[in-house]
Amino acid sequence: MRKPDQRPVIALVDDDSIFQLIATRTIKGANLTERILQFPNGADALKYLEINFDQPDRLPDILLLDINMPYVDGWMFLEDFEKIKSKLGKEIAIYMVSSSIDPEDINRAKRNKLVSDYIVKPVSKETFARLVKAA
Amino acid sequence: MPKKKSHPVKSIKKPIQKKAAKKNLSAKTKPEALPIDSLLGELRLRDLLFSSLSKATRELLLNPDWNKAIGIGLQMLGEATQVDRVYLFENDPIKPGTDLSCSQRYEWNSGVAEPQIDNPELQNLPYTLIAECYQPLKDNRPFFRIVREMNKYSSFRKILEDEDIKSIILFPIFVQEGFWGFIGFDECKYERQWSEIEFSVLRSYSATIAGVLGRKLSEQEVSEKNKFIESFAATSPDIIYVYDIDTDTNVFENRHIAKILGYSPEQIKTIGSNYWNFLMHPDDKKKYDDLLNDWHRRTDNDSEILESEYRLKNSQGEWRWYLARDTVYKRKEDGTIAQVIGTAQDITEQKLAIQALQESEQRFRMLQRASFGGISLHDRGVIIDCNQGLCDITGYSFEELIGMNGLKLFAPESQAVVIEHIRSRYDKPYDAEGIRKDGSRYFLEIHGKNIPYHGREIRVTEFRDITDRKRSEGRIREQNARLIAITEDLKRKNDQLEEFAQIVSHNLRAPIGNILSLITFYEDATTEDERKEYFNLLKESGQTVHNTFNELVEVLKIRQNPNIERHQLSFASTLEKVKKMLAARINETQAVIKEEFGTPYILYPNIYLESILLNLLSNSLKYKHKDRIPTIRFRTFQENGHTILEVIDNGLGINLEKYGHQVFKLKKTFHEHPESRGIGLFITKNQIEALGGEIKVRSKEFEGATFVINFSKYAQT
Repeated sequence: MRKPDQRPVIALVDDDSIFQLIATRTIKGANLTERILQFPNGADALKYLEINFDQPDRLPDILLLDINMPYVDGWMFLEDFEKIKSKLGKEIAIYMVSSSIDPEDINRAKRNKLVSDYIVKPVSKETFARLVKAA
Repeated sequence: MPKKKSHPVKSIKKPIQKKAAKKNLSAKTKPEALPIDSLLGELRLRDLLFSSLSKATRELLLNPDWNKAIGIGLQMLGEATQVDRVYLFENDPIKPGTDLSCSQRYEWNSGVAEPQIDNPELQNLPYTLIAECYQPLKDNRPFFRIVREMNKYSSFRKILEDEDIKSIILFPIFVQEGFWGFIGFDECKYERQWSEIEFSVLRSYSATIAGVLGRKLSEQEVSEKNKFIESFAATSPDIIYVYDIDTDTNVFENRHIAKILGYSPEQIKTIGSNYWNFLMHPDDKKKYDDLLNDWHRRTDNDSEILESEYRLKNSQGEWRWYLARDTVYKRKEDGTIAQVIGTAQDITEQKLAIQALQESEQRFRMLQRASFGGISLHDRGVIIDCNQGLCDITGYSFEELIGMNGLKLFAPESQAVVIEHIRSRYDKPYDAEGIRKDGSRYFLEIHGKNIPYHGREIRVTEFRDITDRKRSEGRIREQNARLIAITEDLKRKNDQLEEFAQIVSHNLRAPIGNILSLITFYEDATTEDERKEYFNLLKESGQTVHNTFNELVEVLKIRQNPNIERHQLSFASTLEKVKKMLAARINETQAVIKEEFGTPYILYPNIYLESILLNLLSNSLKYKHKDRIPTIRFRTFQENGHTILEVIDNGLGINLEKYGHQVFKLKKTFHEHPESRGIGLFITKNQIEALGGEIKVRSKEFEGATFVINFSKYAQT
């Protein structure tokens, strides 16, 4: 077991509050990390990253990004993220997380070099564990 | 002078008649001779004269050498009459503008007088120099003079005296009733008077000369005529013949017909004299014979020319056509025709040409008849020929069309173009509108071309009725438009399907995934509180699925019901209703709502118009700018036959660059606004599109938005 400060920070960007709850409980239940950041949309997540760009401790190691969100959706988040990526004090692994099994969505995500992988909801405990391990 | 002139001539005759035997002869012979001797002498002399005349005449008639004959004759008469010179003068050909002259042709000389045959003055000697003799000679009278008695100043006397002539007598020679010349006798020894016998002998000789000359001349004429006819016949390409009816043979022909037809002399011999029967086409032979028989029986047709055509077989066995022109040449005593003169001309080439022309004309007619279009030939607009096709197309008869102004076949609007194209000799097809006899109109394709015709230029024009083509062109255009509309409709439907797929993917799958996870959590829960929490979350997720599903069903209903009943609706009263529904919010925001309904009414489903106006107005109120009192303008107007509604607000607006693709999507909101649910515009868009309309947005962020609805952009009426 790692020390608490060594465990990764996970950010959840999703407008679906129930998913947020399920994901949080799953991650915590599996004892993967206690440090979970929750954002209801892309805009809020970007704002947080911009503010904490020079404090690596506060920046997430893993970012789970929903596609379908009101206001700033997943795609739009990625566009804006690319602009600030270089000044961030940490390498962030972004996973697209969506209920869509539409091949168009999957392919679009996989073509984007900012995206590490595409994960279909619901997300199991094992999947979260694999993501944390990879980080 | 005329008196003196006439006197001696008269005086010749009278004294001659009375005392010729005594005085004249005695004057010539010795005056002292015995009467019986002188009588005998006179008889001998007379005998000599007559025998000389007879010899001279015989020479003229029988000697083929005219020159010799004249020479001998003149000598004999000269010797018999004991004159000094005998000569023959011929008048020169008459030259216009000059006096008649004469030239000496022959001379006999006794030896006393000087020969004058070489005297150049006796060639082309004008009668004006020997004026005294002209009138009597020209009047066919003899001229006699004693030179001494002539006028002293006469040029004639001078000429005679120069040649020592004492007495002269001239006899005129008339050939074919024309004054030809004269024969003359000079006496240089004494002033001689002429006895009656001498006079008549000399006159007889001159008459003989005249006769012989006349005969010679007509012989020459005949031979010249013959020569002309022969050369004419030889050079004529036609066959010229004289046909004897009784013997059925040609008594004359400039060339042998069989030879022309290519038969060898041996063949011609075999064919024999009756070659007409052999050569002529049996059909023509019968006709030709009948024709000739009829014609031959008539007696009133001497100047008539009988034309007939028949075929003759050539040596190759081909039939050659001949045109014969016959006329009467000789009749028998009973008045029937004995011989016919005629020409036969080979007209095979003409016949073939005419036949070819007729055939080509026939073919042309057949083509014209077979052609589906109308064809006309016109000369400066006037129709001079046309085919049945033109009659069929225009409804006029052939007789009506010939001579008609072709412009009458066109509608007045097309005539200017037609005239212009005729004038410019335009030779490509073009469209025009035709007008039939019954006044009905139709579409034509015209194709004209100028062609030379009998030294002029005429125009051949083809008329093609293209009404069917025009009609199907119209149909094709319509179908095309319909296909384009269908394609666009399909495209929109496809977009909608994709949209639904997205909705199903995101909006339905997500809560269902949550439900599955929550169930696992529920099962793993250890406390009642935990279970209760998960149960509530399950209920919430279930409700979300239900709502989303209902919205989808609602949209599907709209989509599947484009034939929803429509009513004549007033924009103003519908908006009034909507304003009442949102009265609380309008009051709260103090919003100003302006109405400019240039198009006051629309035929539309009531609930749709209500829903559209409600969504747009509530949207504008919802996204008002916090520093401004919201002002919302509703305007309607017509554009290209479509009814347009614009809703213009001064609210927050939308960053279209960022969110333009999301505006009308389900559950999309672009504002961090508590009430954003993202349903309204999605429904509005679906309602509008279901009825063939379109909704668009124009906006500048923070300044306001304008929604533009075209109610019938893609509508199929």
